[in-house]
Amino acid sequence: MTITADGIYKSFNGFPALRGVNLSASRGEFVALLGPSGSGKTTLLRILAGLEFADSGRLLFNGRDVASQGAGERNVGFVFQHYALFKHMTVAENVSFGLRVKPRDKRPPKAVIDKQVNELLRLVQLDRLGDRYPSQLSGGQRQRVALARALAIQPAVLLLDEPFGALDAKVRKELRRWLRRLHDDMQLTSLFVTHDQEEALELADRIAVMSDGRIEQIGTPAEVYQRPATAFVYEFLGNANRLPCRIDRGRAMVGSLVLPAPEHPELRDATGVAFVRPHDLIIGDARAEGLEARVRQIFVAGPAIRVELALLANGEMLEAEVPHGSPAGELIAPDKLVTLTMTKIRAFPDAATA
Amino acid sequence: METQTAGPATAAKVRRATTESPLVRWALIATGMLFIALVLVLPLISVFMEALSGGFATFFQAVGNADTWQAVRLTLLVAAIAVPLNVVFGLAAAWAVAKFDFRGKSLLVTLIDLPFSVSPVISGLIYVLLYGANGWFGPALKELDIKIIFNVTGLVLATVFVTFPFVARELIPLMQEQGRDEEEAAISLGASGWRTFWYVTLPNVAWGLLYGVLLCNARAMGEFGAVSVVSGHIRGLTNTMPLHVEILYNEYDFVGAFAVASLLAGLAIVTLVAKSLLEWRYGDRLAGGRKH
Amino acid sequence: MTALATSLSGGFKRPSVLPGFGLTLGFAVAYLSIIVLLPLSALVLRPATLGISGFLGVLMDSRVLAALRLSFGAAFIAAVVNAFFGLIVAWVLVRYDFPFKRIVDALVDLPFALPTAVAGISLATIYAPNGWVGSLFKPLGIEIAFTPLGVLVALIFIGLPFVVRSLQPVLQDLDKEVEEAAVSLGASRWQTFRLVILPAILPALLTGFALAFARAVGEYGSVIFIAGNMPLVSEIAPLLIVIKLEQFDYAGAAAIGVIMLAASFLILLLINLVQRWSRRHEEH
Repeated sequence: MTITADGIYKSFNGFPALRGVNLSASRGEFVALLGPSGSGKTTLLRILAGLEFADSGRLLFNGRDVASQGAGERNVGFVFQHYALFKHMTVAENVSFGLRVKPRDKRPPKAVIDKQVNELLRLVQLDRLGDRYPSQLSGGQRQRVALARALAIQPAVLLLDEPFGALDAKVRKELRRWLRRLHDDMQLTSLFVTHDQEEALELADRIAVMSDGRIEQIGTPAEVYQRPATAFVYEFLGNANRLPCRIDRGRAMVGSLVLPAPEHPELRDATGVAFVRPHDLIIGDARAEGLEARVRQIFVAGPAIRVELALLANGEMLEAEVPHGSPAGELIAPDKLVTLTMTKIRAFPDAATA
Repeated sequence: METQTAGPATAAKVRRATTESPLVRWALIATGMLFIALVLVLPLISVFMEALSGGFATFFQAVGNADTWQAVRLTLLVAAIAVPLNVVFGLAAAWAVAKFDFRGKSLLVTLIDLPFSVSPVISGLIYVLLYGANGWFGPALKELDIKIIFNVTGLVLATVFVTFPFVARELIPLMQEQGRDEEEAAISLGASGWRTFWYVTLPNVAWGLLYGVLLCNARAMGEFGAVSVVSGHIRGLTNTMPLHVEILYNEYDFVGAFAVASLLAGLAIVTLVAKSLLEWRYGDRLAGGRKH
Repeated sequence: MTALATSLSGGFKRPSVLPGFGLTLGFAVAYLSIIVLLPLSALVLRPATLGISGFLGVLMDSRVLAALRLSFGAAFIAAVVNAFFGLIVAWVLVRYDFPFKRIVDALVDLPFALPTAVAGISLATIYAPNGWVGSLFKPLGIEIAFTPLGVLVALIFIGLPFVVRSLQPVLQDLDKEVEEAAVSLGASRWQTFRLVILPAILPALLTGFALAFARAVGEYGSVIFIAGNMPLVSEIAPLLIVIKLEQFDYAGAAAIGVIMLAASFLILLLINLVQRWSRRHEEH
C-alpha cells in the first residue's frame, strides 16, 4: 500500500492545525511523524485514518482517492495512544471485534474467527490471556492487545498514535524493537506519531519532522540528524547550542572564530545563527585561540562529562560534552577560564530561523 | 494533478466517525423534545392556563381567599421549621462524617438516604403508627392532652422526614472532597472549634449548603402524600397549600385549585432557575455528581 | 457490613485534633433515631400484631392484590418507557446542540421541583377525555385519565429525571477514542452503539431505571387525581394505605406499607449490586 497525502489543510475553529502537508509512504515503510505537541502530527495521522477530514488536499491510497471514505471503509489499523480498549470485553473479544462486525456475507464463520484470534494473540505473545479483561493487564500488555485488535482486520496500513507514550522506559524499549520486527515480518506500511526523537531515530525508516502544521523535513534518520534542513530540525533532534553569527561566502563568523559553512556560498555578510552539538564543542586551555568562557557546572555522572559554560562575551550559557578520561577533562574545574573552539557547526541565516 | 478533488465540500460530505447522520440526529432530537413537551412542558403550561382560564379577576379572587392565605401561612411555617432543622442536622452529620474516621460511618451515610426510598404515604403512616390514636404513644399522648397527628406538629414531623436527606447528602460529599487540612491548620493556629467552623468550613460549603436548602425547601413546601396522611385536612388549621389544592379540586373549584397550584408551580420554576444558576456559576463548588 | 469492619486499630474513632465529634455525631444519631429509625421500626413491628395468618390475610385480599399489582406493574412499565425515552433525552442533551438546550436540561428536573399534587391535577386535566392530549386519543377509543393508563402517565412524569440524571454524567465521560476505535475496525454506527456504547452505559441505565421504578411504586400525589381510583382497576397501593388508615386499620395499613418498604430496599440493594458490578472492569 502506498500512501500519498498532497497539500493537506485542516483548521479547527479557525485555528490552522495543518497548513499544506505533503507526505508519502511506500509499501513496507515505517515512517515516523516527529514533532512537539501542537505541531499537527496527530491531526495528520487521524486524517489518514479517516477519523478527521481535511479541509482541502488530496489523500491517495495506492493511487485511489480516499478523501471521501470514512474510517471504517479505509481498512486502516489504528492504535490509540491510550489504547481505547473495550473495557467490558475480554481480550479475545476485543481482538475479534473487527471480524465480528463485518457484514454478514463477509463475516468469517465463528471457528475461523477463533482461529485467527488465537494466532494474533500468539503473535503479540498474549496467548494465555484471551479470557482476561483489559483492567487485569499491564500497560504493555494492553498496548499489545490494541495492536492485535488493529491487525485483526488485516489492515493495509497501520497507524499508531504515540504508541509507547504511556509506558515506562524499560517496557518501551522492548516493545519498540518487537514492533519493528513485527512490521518487517508482516510487510506492513506503518506510520507512527511520536514526540520522542530517540524513538523516531531508532525505529523509523524515514522521519517527517513537523512543526506548526508543516513538515519541516522528511528523510532517513541519518539525513535528518546529520543534515537538518532547518534550524527547527537541528534544535529538535538532539541537544544544540545556539550562537549568533555572521555568514559570508560559505563561511560563518562566530565571535573571533571563522568556520566553514559550505551550504551558504551565495550569502554576503548576513546575520544568522550557528548551531553546535555539545560533543562538537572543544574545550581548550585559557591561552589558546577561541571563545573565552567560564566553567559553571560539571556533571560527571553519565556516559560523558557534561559541562555548562558561560561565554565571557555575552554571558550566554553553553553545554559541552567531554568523554571521560580525555585530555580536556583535565582542564575543567568550577569557575575556571577556558577557550572554546568547534569542529562542526551548522549555520542558518536569520530569515530561515524565524 | 488530473482531478481537482477535495475542497471544503468533501469534508462536509463525509460524516465524523463518532456522530450520527443528520437525519438520525434530527429524529432523535425531535423524539426527545416531543416526549419532554408531552410529559413536562404541557402540564406546566396547563397549570397557568387553567388558573387564568376565568380571567385575572377570578384568579386573584381565588388566591386572595382567606382559606388560601391560611394554607400559604401554614406552608411557610412548616417549611420555616423543617428546613432549619434539617440544615442543623446536615451540618452536624457532615462534620462528623467528613472530618472524622469512626466505625459505622458508611452505615450512617446509608441510613441518612433512607427516607428517599420510602413512599410519601408511608412517611406519613409511620408517624400515625407512633402518635395516632391507635399508635404506640397514642394513649399516653391523649393522657397528656398532646396532639401530634391532625396537628401542625405532625405536619412538621412528616415534612422533616421526607426532606431529611437533602442538606446532608449535598454537604457530606462536598466536605469529604475538601478534606480536613484547612480545619486542622486553623485549629493548630489557635482558632476555636466554632471559629474554625464559622470562618473556614462554612465559607467553603456555602454554595453547596444553599443548593441543599433550595431542594429541601421545594420539597418541604410541595410535599403532599406524607402530610396528607397526618393532616386530617382541617381547613384553616392543618391545610397546607398542596392539601388545599386537593380540597379545592375535589370540590370542583378547578380555577381555585389551579390558582393555588400556579403559586406552587411558580415556586418550582424559581427553584429550577436558582438551581440551574447555582450549577452553571458554582458547579465546581457543589459536590461532584450531585447535580439533582 | 463492611462499614463496621473498617478496621480502626483499637478504638471506635481515630484520634483527631478537630473538636466537635461527640457533639455532632451525637446530635446526628439522636436526630436520625427520632425522625427516621423509631418511626420506621413502628412500621416494621406493627404488622406483627396481626400474626402471620393475619398478615397474609391482609395481603391476599383481592383488592390489596390488585392494588399491589397495579402499583408494581405500572411502575415497571413506566420505568421501561422512561429508560427508553430518558436515554434519548440524555443522549440528545449530551451529544447535540440545538436551540433552548439549556432550558430543556433545567426542565428535566421539573418533577423533582413541582409539588406532586400540582402535577396530578394538571396531568388529570390534560389527559382527561376533554383535555389537550386526552381529546386527541378519544377518537381512537383510548381513554387515558381515570384508567390504569392514567396511572402510567403520572408515573412516567415522576420517573423521567431519574433516568436522565443517571445517564448524563456517564455519557459525558464516555471515551470518544473507544468509539473511534470501533469505527476504524469497520463497525457501523449502530454496531458501535449496540456493542460498545450501550454496554458502557448499561449500569447507569439500570440504576436510573431502578430509581424511577422505586419512586413510582410509592408515588401518591401525582397519581390519585388522574387514576380514577376504582377498586380492583385503578386503585394504587399507597391509596389503599390511606383508605385503611381512615378506617383506623393501622395494622392493615402497616402490612401493605411493610411490603412496599421491603420492595424499596430490595431495589436499593439491586442498585448497589449493579453499581458494584459495573465497576468490575474499571481501571484501578
